Amino acid sequence: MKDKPSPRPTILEAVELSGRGREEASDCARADLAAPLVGRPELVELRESSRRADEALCRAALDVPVPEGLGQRILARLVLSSVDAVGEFGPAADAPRPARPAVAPKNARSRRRWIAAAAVAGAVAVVAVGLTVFWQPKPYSTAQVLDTAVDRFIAGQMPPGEPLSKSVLASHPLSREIRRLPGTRWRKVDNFLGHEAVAYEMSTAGGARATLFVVPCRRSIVGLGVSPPSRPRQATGGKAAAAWQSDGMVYVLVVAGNDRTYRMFLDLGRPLA
Amino acid sequence: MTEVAGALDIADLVAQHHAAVYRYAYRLTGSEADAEDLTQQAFLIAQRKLDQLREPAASRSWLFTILRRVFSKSLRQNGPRPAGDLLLDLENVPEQTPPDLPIDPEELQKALDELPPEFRMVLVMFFFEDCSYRQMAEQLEIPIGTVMSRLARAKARLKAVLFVDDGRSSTDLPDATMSGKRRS
Repeated sequence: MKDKPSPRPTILEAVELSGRGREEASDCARADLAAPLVGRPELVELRESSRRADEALCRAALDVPVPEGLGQRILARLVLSSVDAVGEFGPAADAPRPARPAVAPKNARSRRRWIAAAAVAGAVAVVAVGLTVFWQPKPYSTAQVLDTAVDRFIAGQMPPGEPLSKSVLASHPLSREIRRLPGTRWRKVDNFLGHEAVAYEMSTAGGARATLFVVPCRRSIVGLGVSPPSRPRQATGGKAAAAWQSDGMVYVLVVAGNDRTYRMFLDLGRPLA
Repeated sequence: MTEVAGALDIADLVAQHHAAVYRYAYRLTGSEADAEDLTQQAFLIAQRKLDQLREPAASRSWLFTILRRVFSKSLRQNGPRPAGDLLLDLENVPEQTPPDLPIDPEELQKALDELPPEFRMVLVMFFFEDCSYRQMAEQLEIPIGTVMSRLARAKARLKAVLFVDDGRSSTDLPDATMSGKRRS
């Protein structure tokens, strides 16, 4: 283009305007921006070129990989937020709720979801069909917690997992009393007593192995202290395990070994129970 | 989406829209961690304000609006920043776009990250939301002429970076003030 009677930025804006639809150009208040194109057929090719470029840009813009498990993490956070809003968890059918004027659930299924969501103290396993697995206010015992963790411990070689990431550490933080070992990886653990948990797989330089299960749970479990016990509470089949609860998380450390192996994974600079 | 006489379930919104919301957030922030955090915040707000959503069909645009506001708020909280501008070296804007030129999504993000946030936002709205200039102006609370100007200049900037014949990373980048750019 050699003849440029209008400043170039105005032409670009005119090309942009004319490519968006007749309703925009017909707006008399915006007609001045479309004016540079009037009587300038040579700019039609520029407009077509611009449209092709826009299509290419849009395709590329939408091409973003979504992190695995994002939907479940979001739901877990929403559930925790619901529990915080309601207070002590439990069936919320009779509890006062925030006002929901226009879109209150109208059928029993939706109502059950909201009651259950208010009662859940941890993560949710089901996404697509809606929340169907809820934390029921059963009195889980320390023994149940330990048994579950020992069952989910993968003996032998360190199982595959993902490198640590900010988002996982934010939703399922490592216990302060556990040593930060290089090479620690994490994996998702579905339905740990009805919660979505994370297992941090750790090993020492000498080859000792352990798994720290981190389970979001605000309900206080009888028998659990706020820091790791000095000795494992359960030892069976070549595994030893202990659990504690703090900051809304239940932690269960399972080691392949005995008391001595268990202490290898604790940060002994901190007080133990 | 599960709908019963207008009733909405946050779980359904998450299932249907979390991927799109994340992609939008990623294009705004350029960071996976920030995008996930922004997405989480958007759905937390959506959960609290679910009763304000009257039309289920508008769920996605509603979520995008929440996301944009959270992003804008985070920019303000990062402290005062110089007003963004985007001066174009117009001689470097290609006259014609090479046909069928594939665009590397990561190169696109690098180019987006170089834009001032207010230009980036209109551009991301353009990519993800099928709305008119007037709707964009109303959503962003800026004049419609500003929307068109920013969009035209931002796209021209991207084209200058992404479509130059002598390579993706042209050293003759238009002079631009980078402000409020966030990186993880």
